[in-house]
Amino acid sequence: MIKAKNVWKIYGRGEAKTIALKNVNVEIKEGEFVMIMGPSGCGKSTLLNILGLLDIPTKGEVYYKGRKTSSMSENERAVFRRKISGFIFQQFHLIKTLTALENVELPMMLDEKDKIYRKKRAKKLLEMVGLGDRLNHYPHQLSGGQQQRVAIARALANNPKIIFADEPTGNLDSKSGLIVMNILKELNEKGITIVMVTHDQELTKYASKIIKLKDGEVVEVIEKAKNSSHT
Amino acid sequence: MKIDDTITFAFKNIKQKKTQSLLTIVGIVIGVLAMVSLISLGYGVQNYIHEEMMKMGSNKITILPMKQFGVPPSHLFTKKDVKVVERVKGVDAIMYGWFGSCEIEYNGEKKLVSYFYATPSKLREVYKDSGYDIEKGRWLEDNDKYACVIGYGTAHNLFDREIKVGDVVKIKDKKFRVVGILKEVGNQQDDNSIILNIDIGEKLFGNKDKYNIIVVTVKEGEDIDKVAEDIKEALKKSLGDEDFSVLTAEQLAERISSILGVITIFVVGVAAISLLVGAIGISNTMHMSILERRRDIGILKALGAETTDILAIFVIESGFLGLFGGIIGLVLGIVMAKGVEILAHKMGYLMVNAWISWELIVGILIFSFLVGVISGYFPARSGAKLNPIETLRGE
Repeated sequence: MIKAKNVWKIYGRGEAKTIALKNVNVEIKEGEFVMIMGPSGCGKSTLLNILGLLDIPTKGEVYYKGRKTSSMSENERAVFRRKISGFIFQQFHLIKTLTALENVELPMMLDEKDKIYRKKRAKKLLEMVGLGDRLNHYPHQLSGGQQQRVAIARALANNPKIIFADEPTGNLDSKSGLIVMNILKELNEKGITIVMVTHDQELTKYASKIIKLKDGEVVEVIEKAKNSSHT
Repeated sequence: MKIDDTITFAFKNIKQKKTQSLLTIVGIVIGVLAMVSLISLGYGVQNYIHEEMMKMGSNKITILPMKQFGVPPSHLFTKKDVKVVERVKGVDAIMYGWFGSCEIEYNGEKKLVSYFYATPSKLREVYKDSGYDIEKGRWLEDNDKYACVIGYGTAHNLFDREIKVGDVVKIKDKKFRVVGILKEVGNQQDDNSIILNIDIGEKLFGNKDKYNIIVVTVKEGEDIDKVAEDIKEALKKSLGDEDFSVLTAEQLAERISSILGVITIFVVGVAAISLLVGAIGISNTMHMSILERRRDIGILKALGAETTDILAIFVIESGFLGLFGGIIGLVLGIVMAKGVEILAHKMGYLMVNAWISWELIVGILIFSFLVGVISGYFPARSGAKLNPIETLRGE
């Protein structure tokens, strides 16, 4: 589905040059639950952003369904981000001036979906993540776990094929983290591909594939049979 | 993103930072307020003058001994020039005299007024049905000597004690009995006036056989512009130069209007500068607000917003800030212009009028919206170009 070929990411120039990714080759297949792991600063998030077309590699190529993404225009990448993928962040990144419902509506708004449909679907998604009674709450009125569930509902708004999650449990207590992981697992079982960055060894049990990074290089790729995950 | 959603989104931002939005638009409010009140009053005065000029006499031609207003006359008219003008075909009644300013004394107080002297019968003939009506008393007669007619302002406003018909005022220590008071005209120059008989005037001010104004009426059915042209030709021949002006009421109105027009443009220019300051204020606020909302921009981009969506959100936001400022400024400006009008009318300046029209209102609103849009555009563009990764990193 998504393939990174000889991807490099280099920040800065000359003395200040830092290499975030060094000749990375990975492939995400449809239906996988991929975890990108490694110590902090190893380029996990950079790789996730590049795979999610939020960032551009310095060298190399990312293919989506065989198509070169480097030839995509800025707008085509935006279309990919709102129609094909959904993003979840460690810091939740909800819009503070909008209610939970409006936050979930936002991607559909950007996709010019009909108002009535938008409201109905946003409500359904929030009910699905267990926040049916928090529709009109603002982010600051919600706990971290609840905010992250709003963010998940938002990521699902336009029926994405793939979800990119950057340490989604990183800011949550273990109980909230468990709820979030279970939702992601359910989504994966429904056929949505999930690519997640984490440094939490505990969570590897959810993954079907683990990509280990160190100093910007892929050091190990572990593929598990899907049904072998035990939860 | 659809336009109605973009507007809703932009409105949420404005509402969220009410105080900041309010402070931002103060600049626009002041600029628009100044512009609306100045334009409205400027045009109001011009319109009034034009109307009054027309009312005063569309069949009158005024002849002045100088090429332009404000320039001292190079020579004055004499009886000979009056005869020349009188003989021009189409000229009906003719009046000649002198206007200037002098001090008059009443009840121990001395005040400056504008004086005018001419032959009373000729003055009345030229100015019949022209609004120079007597409020109290009577007009001057040709055989009146130390008698005068005074303007409304001279009688009622100028002195601590009102002057009544029959009272005595002093000019250059000579006593004049007030025989009549004129109705209110609406401008200070005409209302704070005193009118004398020509014989006594010439003696008093020492301008024997010298006149600085000639006014004629044109016979019915004659082309006023043609007559004015003929007068010009005749005077040119007799005087040997062109240092005088022959003005029809229309031309006179235009001359005054054009002078006022220049003043109006000048004051509106000053107002425009304050509007520019307001625009820079909006630009600055948008810049700050975009810096504050870098994270939001990053989120929107991650969610698949296109550059134009983000640009539109911020441009509409600043456009509405401009529009709100415009609406408030417009209302305040109209209130202020009306207030000035009422105040001026109370003080006797009937010429000060607030001119408010749909063109002005719609024009100002569109203008203020555009000021907002333009001042928001550049910060918005730099915001829309932000790299989402950088804006989302850390917190």
